[in-house]
Amino acid sequence: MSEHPSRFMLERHCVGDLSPAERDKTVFHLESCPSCQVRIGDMKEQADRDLALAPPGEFVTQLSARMGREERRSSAFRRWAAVGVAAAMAAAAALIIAPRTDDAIALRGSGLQVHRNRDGMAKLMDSGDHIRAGDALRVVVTLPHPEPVDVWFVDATGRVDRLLATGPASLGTGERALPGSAVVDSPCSDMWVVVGVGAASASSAEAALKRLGPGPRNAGDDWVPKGCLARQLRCE
Amino acid sequence: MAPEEITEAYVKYGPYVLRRCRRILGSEAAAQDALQEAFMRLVRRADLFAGAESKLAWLYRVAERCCFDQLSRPATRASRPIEELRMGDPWEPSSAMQTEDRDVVLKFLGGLDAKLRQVAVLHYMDEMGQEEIARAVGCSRQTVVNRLTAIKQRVETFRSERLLSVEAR
Repeated sequence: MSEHPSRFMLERHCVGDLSPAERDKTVFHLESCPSCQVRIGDMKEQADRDLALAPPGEFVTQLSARMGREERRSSAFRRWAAVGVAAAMAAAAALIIAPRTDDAIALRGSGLQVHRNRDGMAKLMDSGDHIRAGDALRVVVTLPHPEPVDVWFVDATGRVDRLLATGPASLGTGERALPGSAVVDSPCSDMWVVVGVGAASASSAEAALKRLGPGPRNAGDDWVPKGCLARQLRCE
Repeated sequence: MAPEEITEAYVKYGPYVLRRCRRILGSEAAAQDALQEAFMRLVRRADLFAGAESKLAWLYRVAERCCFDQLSRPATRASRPIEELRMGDPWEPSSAMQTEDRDVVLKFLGGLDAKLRQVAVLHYMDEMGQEEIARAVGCSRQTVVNRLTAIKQRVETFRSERLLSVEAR
């Protein structure tokens, strides 16, 4: 049997990235090498799992949103640069002290993720997933820089629960996993995860959420406090 | 680049690029972030991507740069305990010693200079042999041998220091 192809060659084979000559050589090897066949199978299986966790539609939406944010930041900078150094410094100061709007919350990577644990099976929730009574929910927020993060659950009855961080849980650059999961009550109703970034807005945001009272929350974000963003969790 | 082209590239290459970022960074969120950054660069330099001989290799190089940018930030380096690197997708090591070498190399990958880092990634991550690395990098096989020796020395130094610190406790 010929020498095993490197992992890189096998990965290229999986995505159809090999030249005809390389492909022929790899296929010839694979025909007589069960261990490389297993490796190929494992690679494809893992790729399918990753795609299921972060479906293409969701990825492209997040990518577009991030590119849009960076483009807006970049064009804003170019505008101010034209005004002159003093004016630009004043603008920068204003940006720092101005209250955040929903759009100004900078999330990176996967941004806001909600993991659901049901009957011992953990799953990263996507837009098609629902919650039901007894589900444990865990929230992961990824920020460009370490900052205080507050997370609340708001339901249609107006109840507001704050998810408390019980200790340091830095998982990476700017990432904060909030340990201790929230368990969905019975009976279950639609809920919203509300995330506030930055210590300054936490108390005012919580007060604003508590003032909401019962009632359906519409898809529009009018009720979401400034400096926060919300994601709906639909009940089964 | 049209959304459907991005989708097509993501479906085809995204999981493999993500897995590579995971191996380098050892954190799911950081890997997702690096994946997004890599695809942003792909969208902006679609012409280069389209002309690349190996599209996967092109994306890997871009993603590695995104990962190493992250690793160069002190907070990221400090937050990567070596045990964390064993999480994520399983490796298929050829020997226990090589697994340990690889974990140690990944631990200080961000601290290597660019030339050593490139060889380390190709050897420990892509499992390339010396000839294959020499072709990929465009240098002689002897240069690859020298660089791998330098990396091994760093591994040994790291192990000795770790042993000393354990004994000191």
